Amino acid sequence: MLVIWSIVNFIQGPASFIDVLLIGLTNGAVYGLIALGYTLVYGILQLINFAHADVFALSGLVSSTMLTSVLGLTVADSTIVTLAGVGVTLLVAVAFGAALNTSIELVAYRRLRHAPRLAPLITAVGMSFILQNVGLYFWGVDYESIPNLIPQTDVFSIGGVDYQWNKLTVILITIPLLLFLTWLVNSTRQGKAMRATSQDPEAAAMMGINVNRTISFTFALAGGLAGAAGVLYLLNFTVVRYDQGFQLGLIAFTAAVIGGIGNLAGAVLGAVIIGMIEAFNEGLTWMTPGSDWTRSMVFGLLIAILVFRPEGLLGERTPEGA
Amino acid sequence: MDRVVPAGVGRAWGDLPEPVRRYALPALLIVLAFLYPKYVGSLPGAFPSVQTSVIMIVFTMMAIGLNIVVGYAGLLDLGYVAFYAVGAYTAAWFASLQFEQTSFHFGSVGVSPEAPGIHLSIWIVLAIAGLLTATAGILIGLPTLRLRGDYLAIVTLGFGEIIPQFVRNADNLGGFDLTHGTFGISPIDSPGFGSTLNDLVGLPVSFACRVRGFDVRSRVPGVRPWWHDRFTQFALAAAHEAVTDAGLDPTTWDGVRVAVVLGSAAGGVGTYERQHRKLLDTGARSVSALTLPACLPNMAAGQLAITLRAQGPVLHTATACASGATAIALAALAIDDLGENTSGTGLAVGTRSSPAPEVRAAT
Repeated sequence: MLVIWSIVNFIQGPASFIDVLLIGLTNGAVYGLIALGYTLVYGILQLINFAHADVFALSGLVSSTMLTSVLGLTVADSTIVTLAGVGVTLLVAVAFGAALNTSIELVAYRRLRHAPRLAPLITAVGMSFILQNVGLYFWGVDYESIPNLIPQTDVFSIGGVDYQWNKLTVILITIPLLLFLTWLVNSTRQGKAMRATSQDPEAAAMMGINVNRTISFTFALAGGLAGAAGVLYLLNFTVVRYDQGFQLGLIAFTAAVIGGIGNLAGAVLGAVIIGMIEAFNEGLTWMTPGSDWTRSMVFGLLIAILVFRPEGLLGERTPEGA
Repeated sequence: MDRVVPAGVGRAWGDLPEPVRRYALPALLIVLAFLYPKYVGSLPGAFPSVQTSVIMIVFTMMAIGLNIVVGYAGLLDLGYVAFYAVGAYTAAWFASLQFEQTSFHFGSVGVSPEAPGIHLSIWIVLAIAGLLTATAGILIGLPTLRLRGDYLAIVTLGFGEIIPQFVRNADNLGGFDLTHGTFGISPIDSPGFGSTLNDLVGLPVSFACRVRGFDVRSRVPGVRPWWHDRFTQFALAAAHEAVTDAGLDPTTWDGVRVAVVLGSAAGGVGTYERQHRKLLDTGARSVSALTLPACLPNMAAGQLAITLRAQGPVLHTATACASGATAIALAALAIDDLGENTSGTGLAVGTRSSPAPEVRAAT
């Protein structure tokens, strides 16, 4: 049925179908970066870090200040200056996100590690509110906007299919990040420590793994990804606001759950699926409910997945999973 | 635990028979809560208004409900407030003008019998809301209660997102307007316990700026309220307040150099309505002789000139919602023309439909 629907939509307008597919892929990449943060933290602490999305939003705000006030980049700057500026901003945002997320863990969650599960969860919600209000205090209620640093001109335009530079940049930054993360988790000592801690913290500690440091590292990693996502979001959409995190966080979190929370590839898969659903629903015309219902469809899918396959698409079935 | 009451009181309380201890205090509290609107006005200090206390009680009830789900049952429900929405929309469907295709009245108090839509008694609506919300809870619970812990939390979060979006979009379900979309359903019938709690019942008004307990004599000495329409009384009170606040003294100023420019789009509607009713109910002889002067829109400016001893030009502007702004601009022009030693007063008084008059003053 889904196949028939796709084929009919493809025949209706092949160019716009591929256009929409690429938009979905790009948005999915940003969601994926945030979703990875949820999944990393959940994998190791079994904690839904509601504040994660606000780390993303704050990083976006910080990078908007970096780009406009500190570096003062404008559209007129040469490509090299722009690239260097964006690179510096990316580093700052990643460092900021990592530092912020680690301090949240240190201040709020560490003491609650052995508390009932509701306590850290509610604390996470509280941290989310605090971060939002910090953003509101320093940046105000208005959207912070940056100039179109990455030009929205076409990279290629084949048979009516357009792809813009600002979208390509997102992909170009996301893919190396994902490869780096995969390598880090699968092939380094630190990654091994993370996997061990997520399986059994006590046993990991007995094997001589510094659990606290590993958890801090995980939070730093997640925060760094959120920081990168903040910059990419800003470059792609040129605006960011203090409460941007809430909606995106919900979507990213859904992505992580759909893919199987705790599973890195699953988070990216879930994010791309959600990006596609959104883009197809809003960009195509044949038999789509329209943008009014996008959110309902995404969360409807979430509920269906959780009810019929609670471990997610790529997750492993665990005794307490359902 | 710290003792919050002196030991003597505690002992006396302990000596009371068990039924008294168990029922007397709650009963006392309930009676106090019931009578709260009656005595809140005379309490010393800043006590919450009746409106605020209603909200407090609503949140209390929600907290108790959430405690059953999260506390007793241990189910982390992050979408609990969606059930609040179901209850609220139940009230909106069964006691409002929403379904104007039909007209069904049962036991509703204070609603005009000709009003379209479904209007049920508050007590029936309460029962229906409970039933519908429980049904919604069972329907959502059927698939989701197999899940535990975090997964349940996520699913309820999902429902918490879907239900608002459904409500926003459900103003056109195949042409049928179920929820009126982002505008919401308004007004919903008041509980209707009688006329003392709410005398706006039945009016299609969603809010009104009411001036309660206003007596012009306490603000402008020597004015006879029964001579003037309410809009004139408001103008007098506001203008006198403004003159006092500006540090001016009408008894000492040179009246010839004081002008009054007052803006009011309409005036005297309340007097007109009352006298017209008298004419219909009890005949022409009972209509007040002061009806006509009380209804003249420029009467407020005239009365102001008299009470403020202003003997310069006395003007009234009527330019709809801009009346006040026009008056202020006109007054400013007049001051410019007459030279700087002249004082002018611009006053904006707006009157809505007579059950809900409103005053805005600017000088």
